[in-house]
Amino acid sequence: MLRPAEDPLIEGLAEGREEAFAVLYDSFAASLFRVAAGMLGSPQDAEDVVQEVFVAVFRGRRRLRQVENLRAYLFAALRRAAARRAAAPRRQRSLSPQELAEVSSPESIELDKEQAVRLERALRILPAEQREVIALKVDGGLTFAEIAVVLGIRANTAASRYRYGLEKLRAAMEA
Amino acid sequence: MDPFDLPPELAEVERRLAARGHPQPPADFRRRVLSALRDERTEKRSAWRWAVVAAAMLLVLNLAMSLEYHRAGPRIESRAGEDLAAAARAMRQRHPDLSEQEAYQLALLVQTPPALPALWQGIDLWEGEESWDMH
Repeated sequence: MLRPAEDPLIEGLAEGREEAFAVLYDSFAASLFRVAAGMLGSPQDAEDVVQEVFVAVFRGRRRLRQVENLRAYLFAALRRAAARRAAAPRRQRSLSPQELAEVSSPESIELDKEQAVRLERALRILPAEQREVIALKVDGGLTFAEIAVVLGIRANTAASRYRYGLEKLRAAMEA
Repeated sequence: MDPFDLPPELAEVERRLAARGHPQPPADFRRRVLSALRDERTEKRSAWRWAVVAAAMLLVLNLAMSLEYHRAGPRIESRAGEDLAAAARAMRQRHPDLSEQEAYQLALLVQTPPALPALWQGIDLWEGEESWDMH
């Protein structure tokens, strides 16, 4: 495995090459956007936060050579930006669980609409720390080891939060 | 068994979560993000350019002031010195009992603050003074 400083993508990013940032966008923007939308409940806020992350990475690009795991680094930056955004006055209202459930994607067709609404509603009432782990795992595609880096916790703790979160969702779906 | 393995009922919840609809970034989002990065690079270059221009202007201003001082400064200083000496001489002519140093100090006192000459014109400091003789 390449060390970060030897990775051509990291090197391109550190040198500020536009094509490297285009590759970074194509690799991570969609998952960053999904996680941000899940955390903030607003696609508009998610757009702002994801753009903020890319700009922050560009500004701090020379530090990227020291980054061990680029994906964990990006999601940690996203988490900080989302926390700042969540604390700031809202510019746009959040989507309701129905609206979120109605957002179309090819995979969602197979899900029953009522179940989808119930799932979104249950996600909303999960404790933030469990919702965060679920968003990073399911929407971001991170491993527990990466989630542990992003959240500054142990991988086992991340896995436990995930499991508790899923149990609560299951209970809510069956209620 | 992997400690991270899920029982089937939780794996089903996970599957449903993964299959639910996700908001997608708008179609022009990629262009906007990459354009924001381009602007960031331009702004930084522009900020550097302004800093260099400002530093160059300060340097030129500083050099110009130094040159002007070296050209005209000594003349201004010598002119001020000549005025002071003339004022001290005038005082000694009027009051011959003043020593040269006292006359010089008084001339300096009178010339330094702008308000003092006006006072000096209206008041005769030596009026009524018998003598400064301290014997």
